[in-house]
Amino acid sequence: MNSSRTLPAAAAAVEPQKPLRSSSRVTRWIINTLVFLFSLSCIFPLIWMLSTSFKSSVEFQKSIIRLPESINFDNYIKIMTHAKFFRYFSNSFIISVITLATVLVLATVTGYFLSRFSFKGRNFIYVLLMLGLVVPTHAWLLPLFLQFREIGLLDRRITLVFPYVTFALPTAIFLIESFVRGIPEEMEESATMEGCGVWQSLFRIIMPLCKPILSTVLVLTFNASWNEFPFGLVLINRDALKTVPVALTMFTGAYTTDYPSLVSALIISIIPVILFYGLFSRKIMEGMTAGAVKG
Amino acid sequence: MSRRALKTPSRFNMFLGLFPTLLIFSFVFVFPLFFSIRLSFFDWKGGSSLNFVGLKNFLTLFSDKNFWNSFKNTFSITVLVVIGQVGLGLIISVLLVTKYIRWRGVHRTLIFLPVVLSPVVVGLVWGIIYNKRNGLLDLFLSSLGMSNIPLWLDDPNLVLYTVSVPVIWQFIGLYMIMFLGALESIPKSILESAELDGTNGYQRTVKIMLPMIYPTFKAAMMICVSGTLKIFDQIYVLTEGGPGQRSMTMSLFNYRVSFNMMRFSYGASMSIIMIIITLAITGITIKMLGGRRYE
Amino acid sequence: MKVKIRICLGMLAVLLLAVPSLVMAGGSQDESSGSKEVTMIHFMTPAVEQGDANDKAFAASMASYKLNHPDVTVSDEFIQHDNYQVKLKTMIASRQLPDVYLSKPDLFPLLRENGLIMPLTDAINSDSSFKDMFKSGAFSDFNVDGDIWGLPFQLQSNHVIYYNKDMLAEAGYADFPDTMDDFKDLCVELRAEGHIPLVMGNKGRWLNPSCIFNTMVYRYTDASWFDSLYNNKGASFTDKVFVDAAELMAELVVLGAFNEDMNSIDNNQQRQVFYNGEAAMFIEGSWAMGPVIENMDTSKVGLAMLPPVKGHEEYANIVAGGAGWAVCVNPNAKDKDLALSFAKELYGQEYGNVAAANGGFPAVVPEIDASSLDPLQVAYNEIDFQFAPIFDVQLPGTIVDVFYNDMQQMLMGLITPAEYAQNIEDVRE
Repeated sequence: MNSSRTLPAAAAAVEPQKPLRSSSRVTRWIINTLVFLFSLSCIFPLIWMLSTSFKSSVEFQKSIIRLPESINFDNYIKIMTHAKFFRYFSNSFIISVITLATVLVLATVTGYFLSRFSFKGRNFIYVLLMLGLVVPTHAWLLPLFLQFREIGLLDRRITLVFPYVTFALPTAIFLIESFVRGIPEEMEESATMEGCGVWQSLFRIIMPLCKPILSTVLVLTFNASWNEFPFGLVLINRDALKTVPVALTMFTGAYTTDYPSLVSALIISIIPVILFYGLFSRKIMEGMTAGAVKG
Repeated sequence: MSRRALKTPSRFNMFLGLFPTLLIFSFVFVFPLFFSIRLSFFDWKGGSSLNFVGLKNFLTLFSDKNFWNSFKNTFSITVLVVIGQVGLGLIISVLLVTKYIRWRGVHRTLIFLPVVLSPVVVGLVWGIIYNKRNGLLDLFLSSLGMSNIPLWLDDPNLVLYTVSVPVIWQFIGLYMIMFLGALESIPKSILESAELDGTNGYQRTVKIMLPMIYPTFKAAMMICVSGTLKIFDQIYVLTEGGPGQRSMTMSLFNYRVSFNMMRFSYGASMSIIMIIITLAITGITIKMLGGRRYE
Repeated sequence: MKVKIRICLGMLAVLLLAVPSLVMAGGSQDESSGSKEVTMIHFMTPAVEQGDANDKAFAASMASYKLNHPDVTVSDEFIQHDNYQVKLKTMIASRQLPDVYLSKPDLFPLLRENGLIMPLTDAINSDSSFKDMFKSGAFSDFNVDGDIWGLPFQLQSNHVIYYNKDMLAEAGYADFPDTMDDFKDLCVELRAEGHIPLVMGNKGRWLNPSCIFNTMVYRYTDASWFDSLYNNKGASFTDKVFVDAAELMAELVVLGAFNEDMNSIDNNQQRQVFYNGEAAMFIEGSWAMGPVIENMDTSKVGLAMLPPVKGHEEYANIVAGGAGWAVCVNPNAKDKDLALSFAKELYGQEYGNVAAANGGFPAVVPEIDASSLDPLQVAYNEIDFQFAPIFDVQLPGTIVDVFYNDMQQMLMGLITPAEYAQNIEDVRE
């Protein structure tokens, strides 16, 4: 990755210019090493997953950590040629994208309103959202199952969007709300003078400024709905509508698990999230540095 | 307050902005909440008999040693995890933004990777690290000449710490990107003028950058506290709440009560109490951080 | 710029309109085109290359059924075994079950209360060619109040000791010890040689109680004790037989029979330790045989069960075992007769044959060439197991939870065997 291109804006101004004293040089070296080791630990699972995905089940049982005897793509071929895998993939993708779009619109509007205006019921909405943040997922399975059955919302393509949006909203709203508070109000005031309504101010002035936090929200929401398990398990029955996390349980039998196949499938399934993150984290950084005078 | 300078939008716009959020929220969250509250006053084990028992479930709960044990565990885990996740996430994001460390782009990408990992993989990988035989941690410590290495996950007095570490490790990246988003939107001009005033990097960080991202910090604390208080997956894959009940969390216990014992009404009352406890702790945290005042 | 706002507002409007219409669009759930339909939930993984004997047998049998009955639409849903109970219990509580499903006997009372299960006694007894396919005693687990409530598809021991012949020989045991005292000596000897005598992966809490301790209780008593306990006819968990068994378990822990990390590894990891020769024995149900055959040279593996304790030699062959899961039929099925005939055909002769050929132990007598079996399977078939009820299959969840959970506490030495027994008895009320 080209780090000079992804430099944050604030960095330019804070870069120490005076030569460092030797003691701070040592401190800096130590901190660099620590962060480097931490990053290394973060890539370790991925390396382990890759290594495991090339193993056979018997090889895996012999040693969970030893490198594979030979590189073979059998597990991947098995998964990619599994007729239904792409169906699960597209199910998850469709649900995640609908969730994402809905959360983005609703959270921006609600977050903006909450942070900028005082109105009756504002505190009520805060408490409600906080409640949504603290609810234990498993306690909601049975009530939601009963409720969805009553209105015939079980086992539909749209079913999972409802819980996913709902449980992603509080986090998204709080993040956006806190971010908007940090934006000086003069930004919109001048727009209001020019006769812009609330929607123009929101979408023309605030939303572009919110890009960094919106992309954080995007990544969080996408990750959450892509990986969600309990609701996907309980609210969906038809195989044709199952999502990736639920479908992946097929590699786990009653008393045995085919770990190499499971791990290979997991590698494929995290690619969208990583791509998504890569795309958005770069986008913001580029946007931010574009305005910088010098690097 | 200056913020009230902005004109409150018309009733219609207000409605248009907030109604969709409230609608979906009441549908998926509030209705099941009422269901659970109602259920908690009954005795229901999934069958056809539904007897009103008043406050009996709550009284049982208040004297349920196992529940309070799980509360104690959850609270300890939350304290550790909040310090670890938000603290380290903040430090790393500041280090990245201030160009204090090298390979920033690489760190930014790698540290986020664990966030997208499935709990199964986290369980397996940390199993490799904590394993008694050929475990990486034991290997490392014995190569340093340490003997008497403890049993990481089997030691009842150690297990709360050993289950917290993977949780912290996995989600530092989440808080890192939240803070990065906020830090990078700090106007460059503010930092530049501070630099002209002769402040050093440390002063600029503490005096200027941190106050400016304080709202985001509070939102992150809120999300972290409430999220960890309902922690389920990460503990499940590492110990399933064991040994005994030593790492049992409220969510795991609630799940056991509802789905292993099928005491649905007792589980419902437990989830009500959990929501109240979590709400209270989250609320207190926010209050301690200065409430919703932003000057 | 104005355009952008319009687009945004438009998006919002479309979204709000789209949600309800999508709901409607997905609505054509029951395509009742007049053809016959049967629905089912189960935990037999469709990824059969990875599956065990039951998964393979189910896939083969299902394929045949579909081939033989082109007029019947079968919608079956796979739910992974560990998550199956969550979904099943949610469905039971909301009285929404498919035509055919799998359940353990502990849920029978609730299923009956909710009218979701029907007796199959007549259907079985009136069809002697069907009934005669099954091994003797196959239906006994599902016989409650004089009726049979489900069909068995497997009949297996929850308790088999898999041991490494070479390691036992090194410790001076050419054959598996035939008394409990010898067994303890063996454990001490193996520990002295630096091996793990008996590796145990009890992280999931069920392994020790279900596969080891349950049978340990049957070293002091037989099924009549459990019957008396189950039907409230006097026996209790605080009885001497149960406490004695718990004390024996605690004694084995003190002797160093088990690995130190017994509560943080699972049953899959316990087998790995055995495959690698770090442990001389492990105990699991007969379902572990498939993996052992796949991962080890089976000429080096021996099978046994816990030897008898002194003075109780008459119980030497009793193990916890049986059918476990039942195939149940929902009386609210659209076509009850079809559901019943589907269940009977699916779990019939072909199921048994394929299961047996893949290292499984089906409830029907398999018609296969014995020479095609692995030596380990042959060895298993030669052991005279006498099945007695599996506690955690029969007892209600509230008791099983303590039975499982407090075992971990006892293994850690946090509670005494007597306290363990008392804690379980306390929840029995």
